[in-house]
Amino acid sequence: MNDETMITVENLKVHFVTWKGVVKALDGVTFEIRKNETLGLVGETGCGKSVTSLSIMNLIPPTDGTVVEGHIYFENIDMTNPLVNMKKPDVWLKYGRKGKVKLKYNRRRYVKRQEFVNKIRGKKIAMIFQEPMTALNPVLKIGYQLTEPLIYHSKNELAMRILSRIDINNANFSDMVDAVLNNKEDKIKSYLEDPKLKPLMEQLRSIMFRKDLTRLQKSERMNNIRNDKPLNSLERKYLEELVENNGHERFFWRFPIIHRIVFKRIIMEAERKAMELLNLVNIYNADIILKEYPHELSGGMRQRVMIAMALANDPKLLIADEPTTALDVTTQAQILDLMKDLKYRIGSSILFITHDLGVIADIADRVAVMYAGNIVEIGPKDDIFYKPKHPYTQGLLKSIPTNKTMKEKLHVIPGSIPNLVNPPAGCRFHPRCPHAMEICTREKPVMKEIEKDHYVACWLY
Amino acid sequence: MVEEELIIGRNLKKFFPIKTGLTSRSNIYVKAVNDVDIVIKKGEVVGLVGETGCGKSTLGRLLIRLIEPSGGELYFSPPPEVLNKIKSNQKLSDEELKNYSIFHMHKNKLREMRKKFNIVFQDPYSSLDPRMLIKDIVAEPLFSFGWKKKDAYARVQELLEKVGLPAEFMYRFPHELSGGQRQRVAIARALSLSPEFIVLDEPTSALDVSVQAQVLNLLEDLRKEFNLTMLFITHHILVVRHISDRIMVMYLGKIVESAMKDEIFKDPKHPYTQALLSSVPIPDPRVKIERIILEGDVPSPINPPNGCFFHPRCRYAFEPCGFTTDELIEPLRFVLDNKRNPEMGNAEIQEMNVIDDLNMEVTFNNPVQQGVVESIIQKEKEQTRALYGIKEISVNGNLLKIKMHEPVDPKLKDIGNEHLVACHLVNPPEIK
Repeated sequence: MNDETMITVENLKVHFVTWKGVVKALDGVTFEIRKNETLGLVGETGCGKSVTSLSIMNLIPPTDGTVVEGHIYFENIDMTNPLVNMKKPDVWLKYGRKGKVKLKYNRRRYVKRQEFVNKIRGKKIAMIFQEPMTALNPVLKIGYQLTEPLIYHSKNELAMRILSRIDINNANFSDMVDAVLNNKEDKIKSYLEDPKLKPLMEQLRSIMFRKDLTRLQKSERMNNIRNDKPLNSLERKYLEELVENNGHERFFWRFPIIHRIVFKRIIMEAERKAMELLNLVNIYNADIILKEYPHELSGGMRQRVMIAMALANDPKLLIADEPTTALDVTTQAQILDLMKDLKYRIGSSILFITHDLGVIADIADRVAVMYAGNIVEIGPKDDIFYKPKHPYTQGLLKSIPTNKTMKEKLHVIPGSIPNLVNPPAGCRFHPRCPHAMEICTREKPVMKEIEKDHYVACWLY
Repeated sequence: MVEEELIIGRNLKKFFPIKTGLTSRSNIYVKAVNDVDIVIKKGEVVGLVGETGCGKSTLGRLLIRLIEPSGGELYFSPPPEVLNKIKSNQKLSDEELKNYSIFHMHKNKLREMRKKFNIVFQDPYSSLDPRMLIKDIVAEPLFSFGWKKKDAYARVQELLEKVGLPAEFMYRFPHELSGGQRQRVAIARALSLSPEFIVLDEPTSALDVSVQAQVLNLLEDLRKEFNLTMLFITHHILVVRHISDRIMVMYLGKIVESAMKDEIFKDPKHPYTQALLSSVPIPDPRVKIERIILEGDVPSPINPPNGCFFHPRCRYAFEPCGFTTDELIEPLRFVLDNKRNPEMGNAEIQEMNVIDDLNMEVTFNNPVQQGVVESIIQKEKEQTRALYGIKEISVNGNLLKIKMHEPVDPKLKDIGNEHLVACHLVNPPEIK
């Protein structure tokens, strides 16, 4: 595993304003995700798992709450305040008299921030949402929803795909097909390094990865890949312009009718890529699925479409917010199998949020345990499951029914989750903790490394 | 444990009509519970597991007649002579049916019977009336059976104590309680008339892990205290494993396997049970299970497949499992492709004509040989299970005629040790 970090969350505090008072949903969350790693984030309902992911994505509604403190660093950008030249905040808390708190926001500055973040969302950070029923738009076809992120973010890559497919000469192409079919890794690597040939190589590889075709059918499809309509001079000019200007249209947008004609090529290519994405998530009748509406698909199928959508632009960080909670165990097994498989193929970091410890044991490399807006323990999977240090983690693990606990009673953590409007002072777990000490009621514990890579926020250590 | 049958259901059926158009008349039904035989013994906790939409909740509601049945008989602790008749499949007289069958009882008598069973619903957030005080919620069953207010509230206090809630909760509204506390109130309400049988319809699926543990412990205690019989409906297999004695697995409106807990986890017989149990995520990173990944989705209960309902997704499906010609179209196109199997020469499929469920014709553009097709089918059988359904083929020039095996419905059969399985692998039928 590479020790470079992908995203760093530092002392993140998120407050929501309600008529009952200010809900301190996150109270100083600190963690990092490394490259090519899956971090599992577990916790009970209302502990702030989803709020963490929403604040990374800048998706907290400005009418409800905001990040009040802390930073999220992703590729040298602070996602909590991405516009450096913006002097005033767009959403802020206003403290009035008698302890009244109001949430204010400046619409113009908020829109400015969202416009900036739109370039990152879906391109570099993508998210799989919890309920595929509600996350997909019911009035748009799957094809439209799947091609939307492609057309929005990577017109130049789509243009590259077309050009590299059409411009290649025969000898080179048959060499590439041969390399893919016979899995010559060093040759594939050298082709992937060439920016002009890389898109074509990826297309060929996507056919190679399909599980439903025989070798003969694969080679036939690969050879047919170039049977496109030839480009006319306008289209070629348009595509070359896109590639040169990194996806921006400098010339053609002035002529709407011509633009509409040449833009069709991009849409067709996006559909082609969408079909490859559906093949990637093991949907093989992709051309039919693209023309269907979300309600025509089953739950597992919808979740696959959601995953395909998130993977559309090869994101560097994938946030999966309870992707299997709404599904049955058998479908869940299908999806987890798929995600493990994809992790090796696309090589991105994953933040996997769930409340099911069984799923975490299956998929994560490291685990972070959250309680009432704090991360209480973070460490490698085996350490968390076999050597849990924080009393909450210990209690949580003991309260799951397993084959060991068949005859005896289940362990119970006494009490219930605290109200986050008036959370307990000091350690937020101390009213339920069996080892609570005097200091726990006064001071908030800090994260301490007790073993290599294993951090605990508890005064016991 | 007393070996005495408390609930016996025979050929239970519940079909929901799908109403379309102006007349609201229809011949299309969702077969939610399709011909289920069920026996629950006294003092037993039966776990009912299955995927979403397989009819678990409908069966649970049918067992206490919360919904009107479409067919079948249900008996609640019948006297021995009637029990013997039921066991030996004799027909009961009309009078006996009226006296003992819950589905045929007069409504006054049924009302008296209703004291003996009750239900706890899935979602504690919507199953309690937000405008009523907790004391009224718990006392409502008591009032409907004519209890006096004073006695009823005394009983409520006692019940709340039993489920581990302080007495001052009597004067609160449901929205003031947390999820676990609400579920305790729902359990107290179900216990208010001291019933013998309780249906628990996913009581913990809306709760968190630590709260779930509290509720499960409470149920365990109550069961010992009142000698309750429970039907525990859930999709969470680890929970069922913890609490129940016997486990029933449902698939598409039918019970496919039923056995004691230890037996079913040690030695699941039905391929669906095997897949279901293997796909449960176990919270232990060192336990590595060979996952059986089922392909495809659950078929629609409106038009369930022929024969065994599970055969389209089964890894072991073979001749009598009920393949039909519709399922054969895609595989044949796939297999008899001359790019996949070059032996086919230049013959390509031109037309596929389905005559009925068991007969079909395939037309090629060039003549084919019977031996070649047979050898291809033999070769591809292992990968494409649907080809097992082919009984015989005959080739006449360009025309290939296919005849399928007749489907046989699997029946629940005891294979010893109270282990019931409905699968042809375990009880192979004669292949005609």
